[in-house]
Amino acid sequence: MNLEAGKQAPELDGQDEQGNDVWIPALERWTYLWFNPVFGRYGCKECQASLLHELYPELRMAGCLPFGATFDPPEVNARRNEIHVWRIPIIQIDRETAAAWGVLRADDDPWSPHAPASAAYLIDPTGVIMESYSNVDHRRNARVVLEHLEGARVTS
Amino acid sequence: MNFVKTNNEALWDHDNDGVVAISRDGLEVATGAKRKPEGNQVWYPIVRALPEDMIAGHPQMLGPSTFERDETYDPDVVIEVYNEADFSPGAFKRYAEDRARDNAKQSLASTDWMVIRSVETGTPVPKKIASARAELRKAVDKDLETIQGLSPVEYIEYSSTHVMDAKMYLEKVVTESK
Repeated sequence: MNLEAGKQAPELDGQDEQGNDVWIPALERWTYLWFNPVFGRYGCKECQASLLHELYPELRMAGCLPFGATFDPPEVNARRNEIHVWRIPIIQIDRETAAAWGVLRADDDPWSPHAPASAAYLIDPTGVIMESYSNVDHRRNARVVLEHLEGARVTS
Repeated sequence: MNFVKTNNEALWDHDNDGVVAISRDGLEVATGAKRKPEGNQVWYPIVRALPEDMIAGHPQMLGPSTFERDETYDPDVVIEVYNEADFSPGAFKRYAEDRARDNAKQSLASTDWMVIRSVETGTPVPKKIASARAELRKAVDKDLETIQGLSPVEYIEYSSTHVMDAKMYLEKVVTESK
């Protein structure tokens, strides 16, 4: 079950695909955190992550840092980033962290040991969850995130 | 939109275009369906109920489907349900392996006639093509080996890289030989 918007985001620390330590609260920036990013087949037109990839510069220009989070070790995440020519850091997290973020799959789910549930959060610079996305179509979600970022700027 | 034939009887309007009443076992069950007449049966539009964990680009993993009437919300719609869809890590691995084999088979098929001709008439398969075919078969083994070393999430994304490269090479050799 996803965490609700308006709550303080739990801490998230782990290693990105380069082996760098990442600690989300320390970023003090808008952060888009996508658990279990799936790229789709290389070259597949329906590649799920393609829009996020395409909108990466826009997200950065809007002051937002996007991250992926998986259970896979840095070498696997580095390989995926290289094959799919993706520029978004992917952090390795453990099951405890996944549970804290509400993305640990049920024990009877065959994917439970291998990947967190697919969910995403937009977190503001103070560490508060501004938007919570579950079962999101990631082909469209990057656009939605940009709209939410724009909306947050207008109201703040 | 796809349509499915039902066993329901239709009472057609004057233009024989729209259904004014639908009955099953002599009882009226719905009105207002719009479909072409085929005998006296009604065809309903199909709404596909894709499983929640369906990954775009992998429709082959849905398996066989059954058709069920949407009795609750819309009696003029048939829902296509995939009861045997399997999106477990093991299924994605099998799918990645099958894709490597199928892609190679498809590509080899385009030059199979040369092999048959060589058996039947003694005309040899051009050396470059025979060599490219052998490379394609080796590429299947390479892909299967690569898949063994992937993490489960990568099964979803794998696109039989070695086979695709060997396939392109075979296509190039065939084009050049013409």
